[in-house]
Amino acid sequence: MRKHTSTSKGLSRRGFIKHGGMGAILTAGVAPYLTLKPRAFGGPPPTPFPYTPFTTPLPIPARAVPVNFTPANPNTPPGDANIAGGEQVYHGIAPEYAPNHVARAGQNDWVSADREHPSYNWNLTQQQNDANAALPRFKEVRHRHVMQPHRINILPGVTTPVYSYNKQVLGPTIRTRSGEPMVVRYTNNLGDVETSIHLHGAHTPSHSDGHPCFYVFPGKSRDYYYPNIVPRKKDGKLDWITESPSTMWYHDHGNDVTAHNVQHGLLGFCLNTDHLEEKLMRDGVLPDCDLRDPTTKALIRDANGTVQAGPYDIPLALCDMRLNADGTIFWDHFDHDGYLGDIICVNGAPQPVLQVEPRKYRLRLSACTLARHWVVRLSNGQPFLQLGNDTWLLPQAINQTELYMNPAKRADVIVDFSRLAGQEIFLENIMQQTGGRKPDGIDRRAPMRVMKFVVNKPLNTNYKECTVVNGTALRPHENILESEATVTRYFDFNRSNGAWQINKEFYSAFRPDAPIISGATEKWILRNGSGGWWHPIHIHVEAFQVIRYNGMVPKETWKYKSDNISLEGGTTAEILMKFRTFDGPFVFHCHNNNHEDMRMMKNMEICRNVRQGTTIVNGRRVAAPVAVPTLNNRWFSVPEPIVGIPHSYIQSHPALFS
Amino acid sequence: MSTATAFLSRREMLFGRSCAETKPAQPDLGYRASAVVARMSGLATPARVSSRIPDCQVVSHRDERFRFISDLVADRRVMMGFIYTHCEGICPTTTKHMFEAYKILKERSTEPFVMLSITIDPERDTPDALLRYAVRNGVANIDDWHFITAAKDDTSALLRAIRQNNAEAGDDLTQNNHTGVLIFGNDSRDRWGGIGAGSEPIHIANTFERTARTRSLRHFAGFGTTAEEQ
Repeated sequence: MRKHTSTSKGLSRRGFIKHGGMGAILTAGVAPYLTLKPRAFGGPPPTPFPYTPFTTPLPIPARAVPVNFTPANPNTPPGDANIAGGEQVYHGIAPEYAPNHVARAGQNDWVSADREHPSYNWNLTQQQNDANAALPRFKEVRHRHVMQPHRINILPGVTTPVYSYNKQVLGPTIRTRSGEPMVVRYTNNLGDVETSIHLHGAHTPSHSDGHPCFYVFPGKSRDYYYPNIVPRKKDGKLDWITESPSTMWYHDHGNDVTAHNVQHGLLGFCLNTDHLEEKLMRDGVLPDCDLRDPTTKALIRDANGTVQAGPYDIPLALCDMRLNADGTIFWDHFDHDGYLGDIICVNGAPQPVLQVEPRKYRLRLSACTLARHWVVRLSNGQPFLQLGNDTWLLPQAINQTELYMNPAKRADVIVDFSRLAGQEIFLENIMQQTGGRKPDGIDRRAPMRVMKFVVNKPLNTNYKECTVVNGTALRPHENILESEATVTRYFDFNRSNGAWQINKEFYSAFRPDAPIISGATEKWILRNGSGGWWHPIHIHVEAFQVIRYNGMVPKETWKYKSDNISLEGGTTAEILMKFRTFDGPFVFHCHNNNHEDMRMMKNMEICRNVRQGTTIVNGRRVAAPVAVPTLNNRWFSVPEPIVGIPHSYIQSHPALFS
Repeated sequence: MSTATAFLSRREMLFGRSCAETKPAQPDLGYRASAVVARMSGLATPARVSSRIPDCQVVSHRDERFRFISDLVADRRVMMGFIYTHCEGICPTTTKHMFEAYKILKERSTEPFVMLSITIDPERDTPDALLRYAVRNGVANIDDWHFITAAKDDTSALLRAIRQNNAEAGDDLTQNNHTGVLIFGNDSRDRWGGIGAGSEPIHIANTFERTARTRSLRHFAGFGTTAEEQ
């Protein structure tokens, strides 16, 4: 992307004063250090509490603890009668949970061989091991997440009421393995607000993808089924090698309330590994995601049997926060431009500090802000390795010195502290932003210090240093060719009289804006014609491959797999994407959550049903299969149930579904 | 920053405000989180979102005088659209969709709510002009729908408070490309939201119903199978 050279800002008197002001606050150690200049009118008030930066230890969210329960029956209609193991699961479970569901393509390969089993052969692929019938399979993992109110101290001495998953903010880090199925029972005990949970970056059935209209209502539960599988290649085999996810996050996704719910604490990480990534860990190329015996590589579990996080693989959620005088989280119900906080937080703590050993650490950066864009770098200017873009590992590790992250972007990086023993460095953000609409530009002379690393822990020689360097091969990428695309779609993200639209249309829950034939490859052209706003666009279900950004070759890390793309003002991105495995309605939308809440969104429906119709190819009308969506511009389904919820329920409770 | 001045420009803070004079002194609470969150955590009930909206004097198309918040918003569910009677752009659609949504909502529930069409052209849109406009749109005889006008400065302040002023144009009340957003809220629940007025009326109704809770929470709580729960 083009660099922002707004250095002229520093020369203006306002910029000078701003820098001086920030410098003064930085040295005084009193927050809020971000002097967000209020706009001409109605700028939000600053957080009125002081704190000393770099004194709060970085919180590392605890791992989710598996539990046991009886999942809902996919053949039982949702409702009062849906009782599983004595518990009411009103919204049921995905129909894909049924063992003979058509999404399984008649193959019994969704559950992989257990990679912890001593007979597992690491010299063969995941596919080859799965073919060994003697190897036991992974067992289904179950988690229970109860969304409930909680109170935490974001700033010292200040109690802040929040929403939480299981009284934890960030929510528990979910650990998944490719080929290990999972059911998460989400229960809404928030009392008075609707929710929907989206596992961002995952290849998931429609029922469990967190469609904004499929709420989990107060007092109700839904079983979210995550098969943790990948799409199939052309030969019909699951494509573990090129498609397995690594760094995902889960967060609220309820229509009209997403921004509010996420800012109030409903977010957490989900870290996945497949055979390929686990082998990289076993071979010492990457740090272990889990806590393992350094020699035997056996998992070291805690007293409850829960797998623990490896010490050198740390998720970092970059957030910003603003508090009111009573400690509650500032919220402007009328702001649909974008929320900007004035306290920079990582994993919920303001400008925290982390003590590290002089070695390489894998840091999974995630821009979890509603509207703030970032450009991160290290304060000493040293390069760091980027391992992954968004959910997926790159084909090889790439050196970076600065990294642009829009809201929803993940950047999986390795920072090497081995030459910094006894020193301190900072993770810095050099993207200035004073309004929710878009960033102002990069200012390298006025970095915001996000967190501090103190390299004062003694090196634990039991764990060998990982060997990844610039150029190390990671996850191969199967290039999608432009010629494979059978359909081209065009989406223009625009603003109309203060409200957000796509293709000059407002969102409708009942309209299949993109009815896609299951298995198709499509080219989508995404355009942001407006100069005044930036829109990070996120598409659910599968990765997409960016082929052109403003007519030019995209930057290296955007060429492979992404699940979101930042549309700066006046830009056009062209992407290739496949739509496989699951049918039903999904969404794509702007991931500025405030825009998302005014429905800057469209439905895509992946359709198994096709009919013979016609299409235009090279100006001539030819016979072609045409998707038959179930979204029909009136209701969600006609007449079969969609996503496991019967049409009759939707018809009698229309307000529940849009 | 005191609540009373939260939405005023520096000039207004220096020179006083017609609306602010009528507001009782408030403790310095600043903005508020969703009261939903604060209440469930046992914090003292904070000032509502509506306390930051000017309690201006307005006149309706029936020549009735109201205080905007005290009489029309406080403790009520409200849907607000922004029009001017000479508009040949989006306003006809805004009013039409509000009417369609109104009918859907009335079919489903007897819970009361207020519809407000606020003119952004107060100089030309007298109560009389608003009456003619309401008649033209077939909604003049709906008791709980008010077409209202306020003094120019008050209209400006009101629109700014709910972010529906024409910020891009520089002048809050510029008609060209004015807001097409419907603002809705439930003051008791302290929940507010917005949706493009050009959205389908069914969505406007559904969103309003869900956010403003025109039906009690138990209607949204699940798939009731008994007649009483419908």
